[in-house]
Amino acid sequence: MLSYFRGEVYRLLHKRSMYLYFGILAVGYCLLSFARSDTFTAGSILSDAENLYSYLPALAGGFLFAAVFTDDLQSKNLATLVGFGMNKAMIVVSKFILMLLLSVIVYAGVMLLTWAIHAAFGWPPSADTMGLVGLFALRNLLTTVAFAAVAGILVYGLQRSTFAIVCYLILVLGIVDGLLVQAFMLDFFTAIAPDLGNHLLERIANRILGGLLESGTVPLLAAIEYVIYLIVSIALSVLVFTRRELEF
Amino acid sequence: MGRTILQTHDLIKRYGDFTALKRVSLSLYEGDIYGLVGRNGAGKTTFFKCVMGLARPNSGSIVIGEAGDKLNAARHRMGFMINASFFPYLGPRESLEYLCRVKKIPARREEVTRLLKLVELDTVKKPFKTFSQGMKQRLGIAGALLGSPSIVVLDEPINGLDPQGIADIRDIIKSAHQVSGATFIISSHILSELDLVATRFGFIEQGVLLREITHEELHAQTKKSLTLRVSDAVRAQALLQSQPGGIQVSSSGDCLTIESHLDEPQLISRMVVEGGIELFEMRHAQTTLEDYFIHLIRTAEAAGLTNGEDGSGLTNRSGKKGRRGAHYA
Repeated sequence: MLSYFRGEVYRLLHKRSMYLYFGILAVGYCLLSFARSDTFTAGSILSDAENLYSYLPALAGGFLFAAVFTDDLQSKNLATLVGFGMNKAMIVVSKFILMLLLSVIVYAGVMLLTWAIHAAFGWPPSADTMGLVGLFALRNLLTTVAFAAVAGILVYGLQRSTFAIVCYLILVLGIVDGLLVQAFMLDFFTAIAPDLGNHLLERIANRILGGLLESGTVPLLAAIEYVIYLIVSIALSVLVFTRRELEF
Repeated sequence: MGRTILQTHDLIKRYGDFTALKRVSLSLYEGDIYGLVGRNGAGKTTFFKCVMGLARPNSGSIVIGEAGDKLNAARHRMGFMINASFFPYLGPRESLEYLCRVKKIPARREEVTRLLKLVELDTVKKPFKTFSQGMKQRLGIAGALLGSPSIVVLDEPINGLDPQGIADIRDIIKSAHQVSGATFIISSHILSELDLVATRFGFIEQGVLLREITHEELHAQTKKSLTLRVSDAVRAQALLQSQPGGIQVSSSGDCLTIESHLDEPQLISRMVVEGGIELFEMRHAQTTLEDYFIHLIRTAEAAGLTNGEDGSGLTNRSGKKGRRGAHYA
């Protein structure tokens, strides 16, 4: 698994478009901050983090998802790996760990950039403020990783890169979440479980954030539900990947 | 003939109602360059997909290496190219370096340099997406040869190439076979090209392995001959056979087919004419490899060998297809 992981890191480090894409995002963020710098205050960094970071699952996560998961489909690399005798479960788990690792690096980078920009404009955030910024980053990191795991099922099940990316974006933009919440308001669902909507991924991430903000601890039930989402998604990915033949 | 290094037994692969492989039993011997010949859609790629674990056969068995070896572990010792494809943004060196890391190949820099030189891509820096078809195929072969695998599977390596590209690939395969001693199994629908590299052949049609044959046996089937059309074929045959030196001749209708003394057509025509037999036509004929292949397919079709799920074309008393006879080696 380690050798495959090292190969994937090597590949991604040689993906020039990734540097270009995140470079453009960083420059855009800097320009936006420059335009709004006269409204900066000691507390504005928090509202910035809360608003801007909510776009990261789509903006940053979308690119990472494509780079980690769907590049393999376009290049038929999955066939190469399986033909070499690599275990399909190992491929799926490695991809998930890679997505998690890259997401952590990107979110850490964004936090660093946020700190640097506010410091540069004369409002260096305190450690406590950066701790809160970190919580907003964590909330979006959780949805980025979890939705990537869910959309990964489509990558391995359907083996259609465009469809998988679109599904990932639909998930992170909250379209499915919104539709399901509407559906869960129907009498049929409220009769079964009145708070079904709270168990959707977006709400679970919010519950984790809320718990951390209020008491500094992760709500156990929300954490368990989150981990169950991940485990079920990865297990389903392995299952469909094992059953589905590789296309050429 | 070396030891058997890859063997399939009664391999069946279905896609819905369509049976792509019908009880294919194929043996690959160590050191072979095995040419799997078949028309488009005959089942060559499906066979490779089953061998490489990319498709699950419905029934049958595959043994790679020794009997009892685990298939996935055995596949670590194989290299393959089915539709040469790499990450579009990586150059040739980066593509092979990636595979080296994934396959845990030691001394990867030296290995990559060696293979890039072999396929003449050592000076190329541009990304894979800008490659010509020939360059893609050559890099695909280099990828298949990484780590000196004991078995190399190449699916249609000359597909879509110009004559120079085909010659280049041929040279690469020959050179790699000589250097590494690896066993190759190569598919193509161009028999004449495979003939220049392969030591054994398997002919596949509609999912049925019609015949396995050595290079020598194949060429014995494709001899040159001299065909004569005469007024009395029986008398002409007797006349020619009675000559000193024993001319090999057979007759059919008003035609004679001569398989010896092919460089002496004047002598033969004089004998016939001086024997009082009218000679209407005389021409050199040769059964080409393609003729042989087409003849094989037509014979199989006429015999109904490619029909039915198991490819046997046989029926039992109840009118159902028989269960045996997919392998016509």
